Amino acid sequence: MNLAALLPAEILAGTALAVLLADLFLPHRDKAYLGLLSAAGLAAALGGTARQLAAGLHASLWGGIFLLDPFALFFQTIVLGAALLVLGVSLPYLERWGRDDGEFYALLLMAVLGAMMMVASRNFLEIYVAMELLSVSSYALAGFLRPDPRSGEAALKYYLQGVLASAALLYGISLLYGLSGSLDLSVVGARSAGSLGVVALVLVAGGFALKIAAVPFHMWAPDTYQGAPAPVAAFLSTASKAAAFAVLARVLLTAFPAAQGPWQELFAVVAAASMALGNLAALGQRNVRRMLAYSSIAQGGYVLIALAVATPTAVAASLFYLAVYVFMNVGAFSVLSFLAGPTGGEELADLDGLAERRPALALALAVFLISLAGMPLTAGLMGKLYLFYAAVQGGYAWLALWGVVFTVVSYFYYFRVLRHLFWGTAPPRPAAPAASVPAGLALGAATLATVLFGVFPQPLLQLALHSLGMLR
Amino acid sequence: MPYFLGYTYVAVFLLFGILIPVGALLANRLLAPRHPDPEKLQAYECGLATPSDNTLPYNVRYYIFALLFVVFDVETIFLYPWAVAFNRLGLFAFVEMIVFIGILVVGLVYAWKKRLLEWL
Repeated sequence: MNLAALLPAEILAGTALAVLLADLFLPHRDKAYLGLLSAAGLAAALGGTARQLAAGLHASLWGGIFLLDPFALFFQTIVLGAALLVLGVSLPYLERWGRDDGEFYALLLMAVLGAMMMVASRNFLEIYVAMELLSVSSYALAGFLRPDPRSGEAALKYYLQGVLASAALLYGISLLYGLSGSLDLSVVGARSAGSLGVVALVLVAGGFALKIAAVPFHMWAPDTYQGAPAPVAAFLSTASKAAAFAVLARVLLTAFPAAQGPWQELFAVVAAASMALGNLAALGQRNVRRMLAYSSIAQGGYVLIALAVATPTAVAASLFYLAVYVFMNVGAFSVLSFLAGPTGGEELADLDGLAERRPALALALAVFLISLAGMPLTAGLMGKLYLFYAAVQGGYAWLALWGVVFTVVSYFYYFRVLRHLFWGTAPPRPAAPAASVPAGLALGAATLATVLFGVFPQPLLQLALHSLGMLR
Repeated sequence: MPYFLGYTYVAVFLLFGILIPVGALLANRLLAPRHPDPEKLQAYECGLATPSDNTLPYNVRYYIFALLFVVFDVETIFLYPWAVAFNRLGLFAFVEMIVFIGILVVGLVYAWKKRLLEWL
């Protein structure tokens, strides 16, 4: 029972090890198969997880260390889907950089494995170990473009702040263990009331907030998202963020319902600050990838509204938002990964007249940006609508108003990119390399999903509500 | 409350853990004769004359060896309790440990093939 329920994770672990080993013995011309093998492993794991989600699996494994409930399965599906899109885009990207060997895929698969185990853990020690697997793989992925000093800078900055967050998290966990004598999420909260429990909770929340890149733990995000390989930035800003949010929500809602008042206030402030800082700082960016990094800080702020409001509707809205955010944000970073080469090419001016040179890419980027901004007929609008509506319902009207104001601010920088895309005059420059089949598939799927969930949001919202039903 | 009484031991250990080294150093300072000269103040390097400062940058390869060492060091920590309780754990624990060692072996093969075990 235990081993069978964890089959998707086992497939992933096996594929990661197989790719790592095969990479050592394959000649260079055959390395493309490693990417396909990784994609097959990810697809199999995604299929298995989606089936478990559809079947409504609710299983407590290994004496309650893991809990595979619809909430965990929903986030596992998000993470696996994001990784599959990222992998599709990585294939041509890595080839262009001459770094298309198996290490990247093995690291990506291990990061995904960490994220999968993280969202299904109900034990602080297991949460920590899984998060370290995700983190350490991510540090290596961020610095993967070895000849590029900016990639190294991205990895180092992420690593230094990541270790700090890990230390804070671990310290918080040790305090909770000292207070309650247990690491089990279902027992810890009830036994650690009092001021020391609040200190521990803040430390734990800080550890996860870094992964979400929420203010005041956002400092690494712009440099890392700009310097890391573009597909890795896409992964960090979606899958990694979603996994950390899932754990944070589970810890707060299942372990600390008693301390709900204080942490609601805390996250109201964090969400408001993230929205304000992310959107205002994005206004001044000329580099589109850096702009997207600040935008993703702001998007994290929108999602954190759910933890401030802490009603089932709000948390379901955040599940919906994170699911559609995967498509639009991975999509936006992917389009940039096609355009940019080792010499840059991610400034606003580089996008001038892209609609003439590469109409399909320009259209896709436009769809993603419009959705991130939250315009009608896109999934981004429905996500924001549900979140703000839930905030008003839950008595946080000021937070919803704050969100609307900064959404309007964000129109300025998202639409500025559109102006360059469609109305800029294209300077003569070498044509961008043709997109390969897997990358085209990934981008097409992301575009389609962004529009589809904007027009038919109900099924996904129902799924989010259902996944939440069994959390408590 | 008895659970928290357990922490008294920790407090006592902490107290003695601080007292003993501080006391030893203090006694040394009070009792030992001190006649420093430049030779004595040098860093100790196997008894030979010290050729240079001891704050040199070290070759980054030492880091990789240290990392590999730690991996297999930790492995032995896991292996000892497993070996002691082997008779009672049964087949499942045996397979579990084989999987664990298998993953470590993949790491070793990786380091080997990447020529990290050689001093280049």
